[in-house]
Amino acid sequence: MEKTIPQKARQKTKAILEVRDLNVAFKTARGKAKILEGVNFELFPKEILALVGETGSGKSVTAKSILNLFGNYPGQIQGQVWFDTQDLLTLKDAQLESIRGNRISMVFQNPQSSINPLFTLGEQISRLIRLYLVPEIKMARQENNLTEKQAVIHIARQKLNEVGLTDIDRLLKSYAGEISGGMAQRYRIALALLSSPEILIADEATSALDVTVQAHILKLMKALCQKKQTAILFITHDLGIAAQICDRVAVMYAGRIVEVAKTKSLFENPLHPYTRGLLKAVPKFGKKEDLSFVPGMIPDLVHPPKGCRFHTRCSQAMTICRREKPRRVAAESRHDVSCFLYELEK
Amino acid sequence: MLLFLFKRFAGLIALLVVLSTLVFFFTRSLPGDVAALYVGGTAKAEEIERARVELGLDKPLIVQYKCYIQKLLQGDMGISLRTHRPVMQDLMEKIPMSMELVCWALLFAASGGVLLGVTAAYHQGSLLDEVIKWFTSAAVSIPIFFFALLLQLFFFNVLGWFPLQGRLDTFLEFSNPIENITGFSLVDTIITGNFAAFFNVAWHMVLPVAALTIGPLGIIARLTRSALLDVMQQDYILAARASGISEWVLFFYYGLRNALSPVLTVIGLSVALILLSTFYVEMIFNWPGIGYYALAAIMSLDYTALMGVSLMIGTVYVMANTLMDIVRRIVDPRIK
Ligand SMILES: Nc1ncnc2c1ncn2[C@@H]1O[C@H](COP(=O)(O)OP(=O)(O)OP(=O)(O)O)[C@@H](O)[C@H]1O
Ligand code: SF4
Ligand SMILES: [Mg+2]
Repeated sequence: MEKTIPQKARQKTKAILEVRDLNVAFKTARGKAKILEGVNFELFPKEILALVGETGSGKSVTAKSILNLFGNYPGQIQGQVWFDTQDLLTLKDAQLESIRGNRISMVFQNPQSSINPLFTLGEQISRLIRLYLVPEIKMARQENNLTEKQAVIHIARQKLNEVGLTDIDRLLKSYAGEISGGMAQRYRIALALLSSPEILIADEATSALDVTVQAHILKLMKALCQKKQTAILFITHDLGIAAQICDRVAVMYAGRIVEVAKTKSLFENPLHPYTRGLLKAVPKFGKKEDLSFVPGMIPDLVHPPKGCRFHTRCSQAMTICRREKPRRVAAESRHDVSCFLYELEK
Repeated sequence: MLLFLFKRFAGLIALLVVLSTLVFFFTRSLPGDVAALYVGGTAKAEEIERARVELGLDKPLIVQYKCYIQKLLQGDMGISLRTHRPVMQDLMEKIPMSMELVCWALLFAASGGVLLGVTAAYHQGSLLDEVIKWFTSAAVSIPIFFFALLLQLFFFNVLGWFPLQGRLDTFLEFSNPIENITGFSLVDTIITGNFAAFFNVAWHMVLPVAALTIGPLGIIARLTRSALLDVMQQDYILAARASGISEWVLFFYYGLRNALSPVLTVIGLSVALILLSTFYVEMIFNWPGIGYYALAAIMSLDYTALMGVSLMIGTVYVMANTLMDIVRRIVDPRIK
């Protein structure tokens, strides 16, 4: 992989995570599916960035690419993911493992199925505490005169308490199947934030929960991350939630980021035709809606549309849109958009 | 757990009652005069009558049934019409011989199958995976009697590496006879220090055990592979990977641990398959076990022996399954 941006220049940017020209393709039975095509965005320290887009637009693939979580089904990944002056995509497994869950954590959509059903919650949190919190274990042992095992349990209690879980003794002995979705997600969040990571990637972390639980979890996540100074990449297809808790919003369509802006700016003055369509579909600012109201369907990514991938559904499409790909331009200050309507204006 | 064991035990008893009743009435409906069979072909009429009274066959069927059940409860399965010995005694002698084959086959099928399955899953999509897939497909689809004959053809006729059939070379039967202690010939020969017989028996066992192993090995390997790959796709593996657990631990610890339960289930099912296969294999390899005994019983309409064999096989099968269930309960907390 070629590093187009020299090391020195990197250190000057303020972003904590920079995704550059990320391309991901998967081999499928029908051919190569070009899921991501030139994804670019940056995450600043302590901010909450929403990544919104309809189902299949590549949000989860983006998230997985950052930590290269594809395991046995590796995609063909190209591009750079800059984190702390290193390109995560060039790291070896062992180096990545020391970042995963430690400096960049993730929570997923289905909290219960994200917990191994054969081990108790206590066993699972203990394993991570032993992995990441060695100094804390030492401290707890000295301060309270505990054995190693007691110290780990002591820390586990603290951490689970922090995410608002109660009846922890029983919980530590429970299995995933025995707790509610809300509790399971609190537990996962506790695991993810165990070592106060710099970045939390929340992939639809609240989508599977019912509305009241969802609100609690959101509040908790936001508060904890503020306290620990953790930046969040908040992936959702719920624009309402994005508007409520995020500082900035990136809109994704068919494997490309089409618009990035401050939340206020994006909702008050959406530029990209796709974003406009989405916002029209949301009846009221801040109300929960799904992103399925833009007419048409997400294109087949084995044979993606040439040029702008949105042209098959865009009411303002021009001839150039069918031939060439729009570049990302700063239409306003800190409001970027990839669309020929604005590229030509300049 | 206790309740579960109790239920299983009650189930076993119920099964045995049903089985013994069925077997009883079924074998009585077979053609042939049992008493005549008992005394042999050239007996006089009064001898046959005496045998009839001796065996209780002159009484009504329902009385015979009651009598049979009563004796069964005392562990008496009657006298074999063919060998003229108590069936129980015959079985106790034959079962260990079969179990010796079954145990080895199960051991090899389980360990080899799991090993192959894990290897294939670990190298998913590679040439090795492809080769294993080929091998296991062949293993599950080849009929066992055909495979047994192939083994004989190749390793006896062509190469001459292994004996055609039997348990012990004839001259060893006289020079180094196997003393019957546990009934397991390999164990007995070791206990008595009869090493000549030990190696000879082991040598005779290779082909029948191979014939019994191949099918279950294929099945276990394929299931292990797919169970592992399925586990590796689960959300909790992704989540564990995202929390920094190393790939090695993910596969060899979480993967194997989570795939264990389905693998154990299929190993349990293999027991039934192997038990069934011993009938062909013992016949083809002239192995003096329960399958061979059952076959001889069928040929000579030895209905008491047949009843005994059915009950025994049923019991062994249920016990093997119960054992597997207990193990599965231990490895999987989700089963309540
Ligand atoms: N390992 C893979 N192999 C092949 N195709 C994949 C793989 N992972 C994802 N895809 C495809 O990539 C596309 C984008 O998937 P992704 O999960 O990123 O969508 P998403 O935006 O997260 O949608 P959702 O809102 O449903 O979570 C989908 O069409 C999916 O089928
Ligand atoms: S580039 Fe063209 S097709 Fe694409 S969104 Fe803009 S106007 Fe529509
Ligand atoms: Mg997703």
